[in-house]
Order: sequence, then C-alpha cells, then structure tokens
Amino acid sequence: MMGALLQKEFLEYRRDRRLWLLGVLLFLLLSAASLDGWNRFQADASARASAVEVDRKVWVEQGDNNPHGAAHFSRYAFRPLPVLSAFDPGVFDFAGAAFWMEAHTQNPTSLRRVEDVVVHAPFSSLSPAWVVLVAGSLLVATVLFSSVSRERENGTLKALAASGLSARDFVVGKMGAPTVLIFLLVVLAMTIALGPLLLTKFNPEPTAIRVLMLLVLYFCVLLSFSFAVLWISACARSSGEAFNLSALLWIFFALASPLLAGQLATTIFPDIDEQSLRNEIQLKAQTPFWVGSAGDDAKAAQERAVEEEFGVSDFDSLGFDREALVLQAHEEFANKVYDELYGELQARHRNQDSVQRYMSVLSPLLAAQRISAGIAGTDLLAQWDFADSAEQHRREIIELLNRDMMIHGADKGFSYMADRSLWESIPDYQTSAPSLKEVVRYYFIELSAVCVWLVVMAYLAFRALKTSLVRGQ
Amino acid sequence: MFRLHLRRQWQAYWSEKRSLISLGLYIFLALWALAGGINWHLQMINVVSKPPADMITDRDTWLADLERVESGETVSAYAARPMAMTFLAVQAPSSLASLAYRHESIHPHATLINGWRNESTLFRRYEVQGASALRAGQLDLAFLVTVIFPLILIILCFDIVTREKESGRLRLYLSQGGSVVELVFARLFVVVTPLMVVPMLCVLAAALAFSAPFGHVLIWLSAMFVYALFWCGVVACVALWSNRSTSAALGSFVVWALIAVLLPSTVQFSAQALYPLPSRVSFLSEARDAEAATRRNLDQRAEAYMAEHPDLVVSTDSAVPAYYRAAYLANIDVNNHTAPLIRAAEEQRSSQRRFVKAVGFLSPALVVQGGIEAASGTGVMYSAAFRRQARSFLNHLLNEIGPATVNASRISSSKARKIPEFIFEPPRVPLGAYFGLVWVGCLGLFLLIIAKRKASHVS
Amino acid sequence: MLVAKAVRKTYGGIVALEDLNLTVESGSTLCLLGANGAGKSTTMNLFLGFTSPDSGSIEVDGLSPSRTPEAARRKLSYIPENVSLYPALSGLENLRFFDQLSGHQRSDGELTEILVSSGLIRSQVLQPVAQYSKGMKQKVGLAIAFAKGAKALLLDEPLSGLDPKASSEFTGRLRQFQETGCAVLMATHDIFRAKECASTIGIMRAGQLVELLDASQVDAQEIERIYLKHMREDSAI
Repeated sequence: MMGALLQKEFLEYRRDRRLWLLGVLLFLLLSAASLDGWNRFQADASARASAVEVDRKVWVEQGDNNPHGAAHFSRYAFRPLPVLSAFDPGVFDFAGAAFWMEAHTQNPTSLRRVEDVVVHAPFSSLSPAWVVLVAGSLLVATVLFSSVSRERENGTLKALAASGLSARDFVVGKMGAPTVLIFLLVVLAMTIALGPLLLTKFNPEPTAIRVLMLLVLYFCVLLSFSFAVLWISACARSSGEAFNLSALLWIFFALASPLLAGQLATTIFPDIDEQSLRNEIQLKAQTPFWVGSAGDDAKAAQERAVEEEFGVSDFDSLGFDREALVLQAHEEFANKVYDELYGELQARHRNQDSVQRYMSVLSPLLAAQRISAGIAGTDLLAQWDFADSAEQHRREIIELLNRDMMIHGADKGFSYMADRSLWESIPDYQTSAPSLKEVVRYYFIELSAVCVWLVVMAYLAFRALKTSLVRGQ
Repeated sequence: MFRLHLRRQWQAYWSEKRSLISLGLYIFLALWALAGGINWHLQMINVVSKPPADMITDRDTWLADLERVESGETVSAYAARPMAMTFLAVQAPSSLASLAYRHESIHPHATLINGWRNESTLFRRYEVQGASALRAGQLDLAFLVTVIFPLILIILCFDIVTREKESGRLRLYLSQGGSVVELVFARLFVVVTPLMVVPMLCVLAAALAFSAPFGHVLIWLSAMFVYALFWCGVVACVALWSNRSTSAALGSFVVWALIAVLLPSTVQFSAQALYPLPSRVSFLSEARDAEAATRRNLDQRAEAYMAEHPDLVVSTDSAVPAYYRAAYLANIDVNNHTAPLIRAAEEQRSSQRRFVKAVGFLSPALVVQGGIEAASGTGVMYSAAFRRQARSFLNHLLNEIGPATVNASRISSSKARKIPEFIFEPPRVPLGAYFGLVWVGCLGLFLLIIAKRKASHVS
Repeated sequence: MLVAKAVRKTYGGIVALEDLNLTVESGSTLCLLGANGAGKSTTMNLFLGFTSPDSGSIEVDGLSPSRTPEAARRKLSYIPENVSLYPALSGLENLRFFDQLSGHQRSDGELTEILVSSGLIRSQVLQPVAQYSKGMKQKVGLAIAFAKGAKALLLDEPLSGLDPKASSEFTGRLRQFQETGCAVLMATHDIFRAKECASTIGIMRAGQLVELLDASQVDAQEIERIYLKHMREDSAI
C-alpha cells in the first residue's frame, strides 16, 4: 500500500508542471552560481597566492633598512580562502581579506569584496548555498503546499480513507515522497554546486567531511521545511489558505528572518563608528605615550624585562639602543589598549552574532545559513580567527624587529640599517581555519535548532496527516 | 456605480482581519525604517562634522606655523611641512539619504587626505562594522516600498476575482449588471491608498526634517506611484486570468519572487560574472611592489624626480627626515603603477552599470530602487563619486606638495591657501536615469489596460 | 453485512440521526431517500468510520468502523456524488493505484478490461482524468469499487448530475454488483432509479428512518406519494 502511494505521489510530481518549471529554474540558477563561485574562488585564490608571494618578495628584497622603518614598511597578512567558499561565501564578501601589520597600530581587516558591487540586490547575492536554501525551499513550498489540501478539496482524501488505507501507510507515503524528492534534490543540487570542486585536486580529508556535513545539513533543513508545509497543508481549510501560509512561512524563514536578525542585532548592539575607534586609538594608545607620561611605567617595565633577560642591573651597561626599547615599550603599552578596544569591537560583533544566533532558533533556514558558512569556513568565526592570528603575528614580527634594532642598533638608533638576513628571519603569516570541532561547538544552538525543528515538524506533520486520514477530511 | 464599489470595498477592507494585520505590520515597519534612517542620518552628520583625533594638525594651526616660518620665527623642523597638510574629505548624507541607506555602511563616508596617503591606503581604516549584520543590511523605506509593498498588495488582492468565482457570487453579480472592471479597480484603489499614504508621509517627514529639495521629493513620490501602478497591473492581470484562488496566489507570488528577489540577485550576479573587477588583493600587490621598488632605488628615483622638475634646487635642510621624501615618492609611484588597474576597474564598473541599466528593465524593482537611490543621494553611484573625487583630490595635493617635499623645503603660505578644502560634489544624475521610471509607469498602464479588457470579458 | 442499531448522532447539539436501525444483507440493495439534511450522508460517514455514533452501534461485516476503521473500510467500496480521482493520472493509473491500495496486483490488461466492462471506451482509458466528464468519472469509480471486490458498496448520491443515459448505464452496472452478492447502501434523491435497482427503499426524515418499503411490492408512484407525505410532515414539524 505504502509503495502504491509513493508511486502515485511520484507520478503526480512527474506530471506537476510547477515542479518542472521551478526545477529547471533552480538548475539554471545553480549551474550559473556554481560556475561563478568556482571562477571566483580560482581568481581569488590565485590573486591571494600571488599577493602572498609579492608581499614576501618586497619584504625580503627591501634592501638595507632600519628595522623600525621596515616595521612601518611592514607586511600584509591575507585571509586564507577555503575551497568551500566557492559554494558558500558566507560573510567573507562583507569582511576584510587583508590585515596590515604595521608598527604602533592595530588596524581592522580591510579589502571587502562587497564594495565592488555596482548594484545591491534586495537580498543576498546568488551563491550556490543561497540558491539551494532559498530557491530550493521555494520549490518545496510550491510543490507541497497542496499535497493534502488538494486531496481534501478533490475528495481523493476521503476516497483514500474509504479504501482502507492505514494511517501509518498514508503518513509514511505522504512524508516519504517529499523525503525522497528532497534527498534527490539536495544530492543533485550539491553535485552541481560542488561539481567543479569535486573534479579538481583538493585536500580530500577535511573537505570531504565538510561536504558530507553540508549535504546532511541541507537535507535536514529542507526536510523540516517540507514537513512544516505538509503540516500546513493538512491543517489548512483550503489550498488557497495552505498556499498563503506556506508562502508566508517561506518569506519569514528565507527572507525576513536574516533581515530582521541583522536589524535587531544593529539596533541592540550598534556598530562602533570608525571615527570613534580611531579617536580612541589616538587618545588612549598614541598621545598619552608619546606626549604625556603615561608610558613611563611601560618603559620601566620593558627596561626591567630586558635587564632580567640579559642578567644585568643596568640597561645602559648592555650597550643596546634605548630608542628601540622605547618603541617596544610603546608596543606593549598600546597592545593593552588594542586588546581593550578591539576586544570591545569584537565583543560587539559577537553580540550582534548572538542576536542572529537566537533569531535562528525561530528560523531553521537562517540557522542553516549560519551553520553552512561555518562548515564552509567563511563565517565570522573564521574571520575573527584570521584577524586575531594576524594581530598576534603583527606583534611577534614588530617585537622581532624592535629587538634586532635594540641589540644591534647600539648608539645608531634610527640610522642603524639591517639587511636581508633579518628580513628573511621574519616568519611568514600562517594560519589554519577553525576546526570542525570548533565549528560544531560554536554553532551548537543552531545545530540543535535544526534538529528540534526537524523533529517537531515531523511530529506535527505526522499528527495532522493521521488525523486528516482518519477523519477523511 | 464605482462609488458604490468603493464604499463596499472600503467597509470590507476595515472589517477584514488580514487587511488590518497587514496594514498594522506595514505601518510598524515603515516607522521602524524611518526611525532607523533618521538615527543613521544624525549619526553620519555627527561623524562627518568633527575632525578625527588623529588629524595631527588642523589646517589653521598648520598655516599659522607656516606664516611663522615665513616671518623668520624659529619653529620645529617638523612644523608646517607639506606632508602634514591634511584635509578631511567627507561625503555628508544628502537630505533624503535616511530613506535609502540600506547599504550605506558598506562604503566610506570620510577619510583624511595628506601626503602620507596613496590610493591603496586612502580608505584603509574604516571597516569596523560587524560583517554578519552588514550582510543582512538595514531595513529602509526604499526596501519597504520595493519589496514589502507589492507583497502586501498581493496578499490583500490576489483573490479579488477568484473569490467571487469560487463562491459563485460572480455570476449573480454579473447577472445584476455589475462590472468586473469596477470590482477589481475599486478593490485595488482601496488597498493601495493606505499602502501608499504611509510611505508618502514618511518621505514628507524626512523631507521636512532635513529640508530636502522639492524635486527630489517629487521623484521619490513619482517612483512610488509608478511602482504601485505596475504592481496593480500585475495583480489585476493574474487575478483575472486565474480560475482558482490557489493559482492566483501562486501566480502573483511567483511574479513577486522573480521581480523582487531572483531577478535583482541574478542581474547583480551576472554583472559581476560578465565584467569581473580586478581583484582588490591584486591591486594591493601592485601597490606594494611599486612602493618597494621606489624605496629600493630611492636615490635614483629622487634624481629622476628632480630631473622632471628642473626648477628645483637641492635643499640643505638636514633636519627634515629622509622618510618624508621616501614616503612621498613611494606614494606617487604607487598611484602611477596602480592607475591602469584603477582604470580597468572603472571601465569594468561602467560596463557593469551599463549591463545593469539594460537588463534591469526586466525587474521594475531594480529600476525603482535605482530611481529612489538617485533621488535620495545614496547608492553605489554616490559612493563611487566620493571615492573618485577623494582620489583626484589626493593626486592634486600630491602634485602641489611634491617639489617642496622632495626638495625638503616648505611651500609658500599663498600657495597653500590656494589649495581649496575638499568639498564633495554630488554626481549629476542625468535625466535619462529616470527613464526607467517612465518605463515602469508605461508597463503598469499597459498591464492595467490589458486587465481592463480582460475584466470586461470575464463571465 | 451492514448493520446500524439504535444509532444516535448529534453535531453540536443538532440531532443528525435518532434511533437509526437498518440492516443490509449480502446481495441486497437498500436505497435511502430523503431531503437534504435528513441524515443520509451521516449514515454513510458512520459506516465509513469518518465519524462515530454518540450511542448505538454500527457494524460492517461484524466489525465496528469507529473502533477498527481500517479493517472495516477494507470490506467496503465507496462511490461519492463526485467520484474523486487524481486529475493528473489517467483512468487506468487511477484504477491501478486504488487497486494496489486494496492489495491487488492486477496487470494493465486486466485493469483495462475492468474499466471497459464498467462502461469506459478503450481509447479513453489512457486519457488524463482531468479530461473526463462526470459520467466517465463515475464509471472509473465503479471500476475501482468492482476491482476491490468489497463485500459492501456505499453510494452517496451517485446519480446526481448524470444525464438519463448515463444514469441508466450506471444502474445497469450496479446490478452486476448485486449479482456478486455485494451488499449495497445507496443514498439518492432519484425515486425512479431507486425503485429500479433497490431491493429495499428507506425514507429518512430529520435523522430518522421513518419508512422501510419492499421495492418489489410498490411502484414508483406509490413511493413518491409516501415520500411526499413524509416531506409534508417534515415541513409541518
């Protein structure tokens, strides 16, 4: 019986022109988005590789220079580009891809791709992940909204009930058909979306797990949405009502909730404006040290640390350069300020992100959007990881440069010139994206939300379908 | 007869639960959008009206130092140096910016311009917004009008005809001499009026609050009007051609999803895919390479510069640090080397704009958004103009201070005074930019005429 | 086969059935006549298990539809006023689907023969049901019921809206069911067709079975007279 019902459902799907029309549209959008995503990834990856190479080359080949001059000449750290960014660019287009590691100042990340856009679409850009989630759920809503309500209107529900079909078979048939449909849809969509990636050489181990996770995620989310639509279809008085409610649900889940979450996030935790940050940096990290006496303690502490390290009681007895010591003291002094200011900035971003997290409890599609970016390694977690590790690297290389100037500068100060050997000894910036374990830990609430939505929607759909059949309406 | 319909529909509108809920939600969103917009506008005014703390020397102090030098007084070797002559470039929000500020946080509105900057570092330090919130964008009145307004119109009107058909009232109504044209148009009129009045009041409120020019307000209101006309045409056509409420709902909803969601995203995506911009990272690499080359060969580069300016004499002022000259020469070389990349990017941007303009006609939402942004003085066109003008000002300043910087001397106060402050010139929006609105209006009228014809044949 | 004993059913205080007693034996046909709202459809719904009686009992071959609806329904075939089929599927596909639901695995050839024997023209069998007339759908409905081979057949105003020729054909096919020993319970407004195919005629008024007539003992005019008498009493009440 269940097999007959499944067969009938698939026959109806096959003959449903809406499914074909939207399916073709989805296929076209996905193919285009996938090709573009892959092209973009390749172009960005090659630009990044070449930028890293150029950065190293100009750094090593800067010629003789004062270490502090070199610290201003400095280097860039470039954000690693995960291969899955071709599938889901996450927030990477909206966050800086480069980090300037200059002396004295911690900068925010810079170079956001979104600034190159000449027209802003009302909703997100067309990435494969967006197409699968938003257009895929639209397809699900459009095909399934009348799944039960039309049977009721046509009277076939009563005929099914009168035929002696068991409620279990009916529920399994009605929920099984979309499950198979969504599974096929997700596998096909992911094959198209990730096809170019699968055909190329990439580190298979972590990416394969991530691809599998994405597959399961999108399957679960679309399935929970399809169960929600089935539930609506079983409860609605007419197909018109079922459609209205399904469409409203889709609008809320796919379009309104990300917007609302962003809006709430910036209303509750407004962004710090750049000028305020710049002023704070100037007033707390620069002026008090260089103009006032606020840096005296830092200078004394730095002096003590050097004395301790070299086992002397008087810094001057070492014959080291005092100006370099002062520069490093400033770094130590300013770093505390940066920890505070950028810590506050990041806390604000984390709070904004938390608003979105709790909002995603109300929308499995928003939750999926966030988890997907996390799995792809293009979320805020990856961005913060990049910014933090790049800042850490900045502090390390500035310290190395100041130390060299302090030890070898002697009485020459800023006239002291270091050569290629020093530049070569400065390590390149390297980082690795957050591990899957960290991603799972960070998105625990979103993952739980997706699971709860799936279970609750499956239960509600099950109850509503069973009741519909028993009552024959 | 039409009045009778209007009265009946008006009564029905205020007694229907779905109308009241939708209108309530719409008013709430409009007020939220307006409040958010005004708040953002005031913040922006605050930001752009105060010089930043790291604007080391303000212009008056710098000029006073220069005059003291010229009058023979002793000042610090660092004082009144051309490299420290700093200008604040700001793009102040235009009077209606609060109505269409959805993506404004993405672009810079202020920067400092002096000899220490080059084109790659001109806008380096403004990216402090949370990326996920930035991605979501802000709810502004333009979004409310282009995306939410048609959706509510559809929810309230998709079944104007099918509801009558399905209940069997239509035949009775027609047999009594009723006209479907009047039925449809009365319902549309009753639904659209409050949906238009709400944003209209918001526009007028913002216009009064920030003294907007009448012309801009008129364009805003016209854009809303033609857009409403278009959606009334769409809803009427779909409602009249559908036999069942389900198909009417599905039809209108799919048209909305296509016009307001999928097409704009596809146009944006296609423009980027067809005319890709050179990578910003590549631009940075080019700049770094140029800077490094200059610094490596600083003496030769300085000689070359002197050769280009034969009127210069070598200064003997050893108090001026060498890095002034190095930084200056590196900056002009960076600008020269990256100029082709910037030109290429500008060309690609123009191609993208042309593409969007041509294909955008498929989506009235995109056309109206463009018209609204032009009237509000926001959007990519304005931010691109600000960047262009800031870059051009920087290059002009570098030219003015170049000889004195390389020569380790100072420029005269009279020359310094001749360098004007940066004033942002809003780009002139050609009248043709509003042609799209005329197109949307014509499309709306055409659809309404077709709907009227169809309505007179409904049975 | 079909038994209702002292059944009472109310909907929110409104009495739909009151002390209903009826029995339909295998091979016999009971036609229920009555005005709209007399309780005919409620009686059908009770046998189908779509609703439960407030008191009294309903049995389908000894099974209670309210307690074991699925088992009871397996013994029934049901043809409503508008036979409900899947419009995107052809007549054959609809029959195959419902046939499989009833646990059979007939070949397409066998199913086609059933459709043809139910009155459908062979060339119409593969057409989508969306293109069928009401009469054609009724024939598919009959074919579904026939293919199921149920012990009882419930018909809820199956003749409503059919032209005389189609009605005549339908009652002709119905007789085939009786010959197989199937118990038939039919609700209808058509007195003449009821007389033609029923073995017993029941008249319902305000939820009660007020008259039970042996169809072989009365002619159509007599049935009409009795029916109208009860309807007048109904109006008087």
